[in-house]
Amino acid sequence: MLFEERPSAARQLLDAMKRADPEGHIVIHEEDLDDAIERLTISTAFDAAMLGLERPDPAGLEILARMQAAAPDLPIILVSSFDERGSADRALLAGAQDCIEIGEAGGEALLRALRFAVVRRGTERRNQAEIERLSNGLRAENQRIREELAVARTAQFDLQPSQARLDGFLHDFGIEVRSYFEPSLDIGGDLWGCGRSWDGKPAFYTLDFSGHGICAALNVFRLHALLREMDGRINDPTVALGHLNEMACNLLPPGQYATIFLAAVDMEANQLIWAAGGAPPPILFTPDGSARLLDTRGKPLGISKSARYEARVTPFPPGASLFLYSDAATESRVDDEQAMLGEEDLLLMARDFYSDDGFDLNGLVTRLLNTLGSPLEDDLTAVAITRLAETPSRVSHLRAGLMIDRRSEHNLPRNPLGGVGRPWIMASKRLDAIADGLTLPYNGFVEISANDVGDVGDRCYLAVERHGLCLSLTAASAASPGIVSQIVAALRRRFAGQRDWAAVEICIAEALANAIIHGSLGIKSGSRDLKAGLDAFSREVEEGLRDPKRAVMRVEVTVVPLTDGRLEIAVSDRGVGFDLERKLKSTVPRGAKSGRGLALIRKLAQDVTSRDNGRTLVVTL
Amino acid sequence: MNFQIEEDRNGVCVHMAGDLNFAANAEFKAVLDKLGHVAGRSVTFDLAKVPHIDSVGLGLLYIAKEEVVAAGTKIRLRSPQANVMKLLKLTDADADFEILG
Repeated sequence: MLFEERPSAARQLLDAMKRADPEGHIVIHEEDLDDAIERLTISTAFDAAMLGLERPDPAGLEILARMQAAAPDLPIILVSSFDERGSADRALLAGAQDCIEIGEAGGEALLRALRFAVVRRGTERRNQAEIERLSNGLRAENQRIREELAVARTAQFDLQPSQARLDGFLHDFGIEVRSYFEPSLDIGGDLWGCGRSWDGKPAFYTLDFSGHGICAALNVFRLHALLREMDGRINDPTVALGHLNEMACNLLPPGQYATIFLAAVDMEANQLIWAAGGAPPPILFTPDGSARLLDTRGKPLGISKSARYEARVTPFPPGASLFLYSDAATESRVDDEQAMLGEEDLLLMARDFYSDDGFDLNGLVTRLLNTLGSPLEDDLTAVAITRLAETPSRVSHLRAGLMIDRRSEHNLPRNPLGGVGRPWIMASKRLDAIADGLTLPYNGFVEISANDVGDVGDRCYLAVERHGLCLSLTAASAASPGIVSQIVAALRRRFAGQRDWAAVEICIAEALANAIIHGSLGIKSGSRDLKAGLDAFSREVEEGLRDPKRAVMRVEVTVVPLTDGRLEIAVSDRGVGFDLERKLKSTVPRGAKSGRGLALIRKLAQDVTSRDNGRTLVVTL
Repeated sequence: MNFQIEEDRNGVCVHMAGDLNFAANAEFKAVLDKLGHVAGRSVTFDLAKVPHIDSVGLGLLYIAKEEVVAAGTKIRLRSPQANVMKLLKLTDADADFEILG
């Protein structure tokens, strides 16, 4: 298409082109700019456009811009007089494919320029498409890596001990652990954990792998697996580190290593025994008011097989606190300055947060984050381990006084009469032992889960103390068939008498289903109202029961006989809890396909209340 | 939960064995899928071997009812055990389903 307002100039151009090649082209000529723009907008038939101008002044370049806007993919050649210096450059910069001098506009030169322009534009388009394809691919790849990193970060975070597990395990020792984790943008190689030594002492470790990224994260998993293997077998931190170091040397390529701190608390001797390989020195606070950095000199794991580790001991009486941290605390830049905080500065800062009440981890972390600024260059892990000054609670005494008969596949049950006068609970991984555990002389059954029995709820122990029964299972086990029938059969044997056992069964079944579905698995109600919803609901249940985090959450049933002959049945879960009181007040229409469990319980029970922020339902029948 | 489907000229009988509760979802959905072709005849759920039904299981029966009644089919529950019957009565479900002794 040619746009040229001057008829004579247009004719001259068209004639020249025709002479050069009478049949190889068709040119539509427009003299009016609006017509030309309209034609360019509507038609996709043109291969190129020519703009004839007396000179490429700003008004002419404005026309060029309008034509480009009308047909962005079309190459446009400017035919004009370019006698002013730089005018052709300006036209090319403005987007013209080529500039042909009117004087040179012999037909052949013009046609050649047009052909080249068409080919060039085609190549450009293909290149553009290729660039787009590649950058889309890069974006997708980038996104994939980001997502994988996020998954890796979550998985790594999950390796850290949960507060519930810690509380369960450490409570009896009178040890309180608080932890904080602030992820950086990158994925790091930090890990801390808690286990037990061969004689049951609580043991703690922090480790940090060299480098960042996936490689460091994978190494964390490797070492975590090794540490898990050693759980319960650590008798001397130096031997344990030697063993870990040997395995790390075999496992890690040269250049990769991990700093480590490993300590056990000897409750009787009131001592902390530790060994270390170059970890950031923990800060020890003792009730006499002193605070000091512990010596952590030693070769990091994975550097040399001949490394030897030194055992160090210090008093760790009740009231003492140990603060462990990752090097992000001392090696990050302080705000915009180039300086780092350093260990001595951290010691000074941390002093303000230790008092007779223990160590205020939140306070220190807040101060630390304000000082360091964000985002952090590395993951920040902070752990405070405090020996409580007070003696453990009544439940701890109960726990200590209970005889737990641990049955495994290979062990025959011990003779429970050995513990005459003390209540017995059976602990086992085998669900076929439940019926035995719920039958005298046992007073309950607790499943040995990945967390052993340390996270069994206080309610279980208190129920046994009140001459009741307890059952503590993981959500996955509680969902197995026949559990409710076994509980009711046991109750009928133990609390014989005239009772509405069908009502007891319905209440326990409904409360248990609620605790599993809504409490442990976190599935919202209402999703299964239609046949189409059943699939989704089944999938949610299946996925939940396979989820290593949710499936192991304990669901507990306790039954206590009251003096008036009624039974107090409590069903607990470890979910986020919900507003049971409100639910208990709501009504359910007849024929509803979901949400009627609580309504049923309310109909049957004399009293229904919720406890523990909606995690426990207490029913009296 | 196990299901066995028996069919004659009058309709379909679903013999159920085991607890009908939230864990029986997937199997129950499979049964519903198989009942699509019985339009106009009757569907009987034989509960003789179901020791226990919870509210989720009851919800499943209501979904079944909605599905088959929409297709012009009658739905019945047969031989519920005493405690199952108690639940059906408590929830007024005995008025929504035809129950055979």
